Amino acid sequence: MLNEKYTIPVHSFVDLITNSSTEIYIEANKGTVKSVTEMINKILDLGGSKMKCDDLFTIELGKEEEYSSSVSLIVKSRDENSELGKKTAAILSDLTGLFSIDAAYNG
Amino acid sequence: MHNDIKTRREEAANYSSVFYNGKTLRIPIDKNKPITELQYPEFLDISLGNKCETGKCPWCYAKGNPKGVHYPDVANRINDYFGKMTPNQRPYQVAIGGQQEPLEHPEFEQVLQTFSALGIVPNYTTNGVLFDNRAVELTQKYCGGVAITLHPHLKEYWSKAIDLALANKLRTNIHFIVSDTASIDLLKEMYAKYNGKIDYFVLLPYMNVGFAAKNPKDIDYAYLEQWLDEVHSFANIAFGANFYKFLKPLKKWNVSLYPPEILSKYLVCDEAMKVYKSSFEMIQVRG
Repeated sequence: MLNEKYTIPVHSFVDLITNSSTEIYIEANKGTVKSVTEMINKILDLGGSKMKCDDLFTIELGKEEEYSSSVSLIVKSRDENSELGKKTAAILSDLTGLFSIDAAYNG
Repeated sequence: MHNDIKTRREEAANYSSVFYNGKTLRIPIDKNKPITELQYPEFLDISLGNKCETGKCPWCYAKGNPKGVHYPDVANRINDYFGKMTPNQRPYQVAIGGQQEPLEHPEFEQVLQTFSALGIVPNYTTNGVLFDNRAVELTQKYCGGVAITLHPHLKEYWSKAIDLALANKLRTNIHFIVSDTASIDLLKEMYAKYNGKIDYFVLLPYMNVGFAAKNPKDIDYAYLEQWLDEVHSFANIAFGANFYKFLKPLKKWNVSLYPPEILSKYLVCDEAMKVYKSSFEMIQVRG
């Protein structure tokens, strides 16, 4: 069975860099989730999938103090038992391969 | 043209990332370890010269001045420098500014063309004086966006530049140099005026180096913190790296913090094409 929850340990997220004095630190917010959703949509599209991120996952911000990052993205599968859930597992596996996320799959 | 998705990975630095539509998501390869300094920066600040005639800013940390020079042949140098890199080694984006007003440089357009052809998104910072319809066209054609710096003595220019950028739906950041109480009052005023219209207010601390060393200022951190607390949920405020020491002990506002300059460097496009730690700390790291 697909684990219902995954965590993407985000180190940081930055938007457009225009700063000529190096790094910009940005607050993680709903815009971060939206941007990551757009990224996953693009990856799914490139992979030939007609599914969207929202069809497969819910994504929200979470705190994970043990990480060096100040925030993580909590990714939950919408349906862990259905065919869609299995497809979700396969796609998430692909995504995690790309993202190098530890995605658990129990069965 | 900037809608390709890209990824980068440096095992030694425990770094992986995805770049899409101007946004970068960084993920540690081993989630239990920090990301460390990259061998190949994810983004670079770029200096095309130290000749600056339009600004004459008495606090310029980089000492840009009318007697400086526009480095010659910069488009070719940039093409040679980054063209030798693999896609995994090339930065996602660059910020052109450094020591001068980049719109003054005679090769500015060629530089944007060159970066774009290399698959690197160029962005730049302007004081607004030369920002016109042609600059808008170039920004739309080649850049991810533009930042307009609110130097108080150039208000008539940056005010028009912001209006022009927004009218043309450019992705627009405001760079605001934070120092004393009066500067933060001005920031509050500008935030009230432009909040919701521009992409980000990028707050940069006044640095008592370069020309500013002759007129040093203390930053009113307490007042800044008070205002940021009032703003509270700020979706469009970003902090320059030199605010790291201010932000780190506060542990507020969910800001993504990491040690300065581990992901970026500063490239001076003179004949030597040397890479430095940052435009504030001219410590050579490569080249």
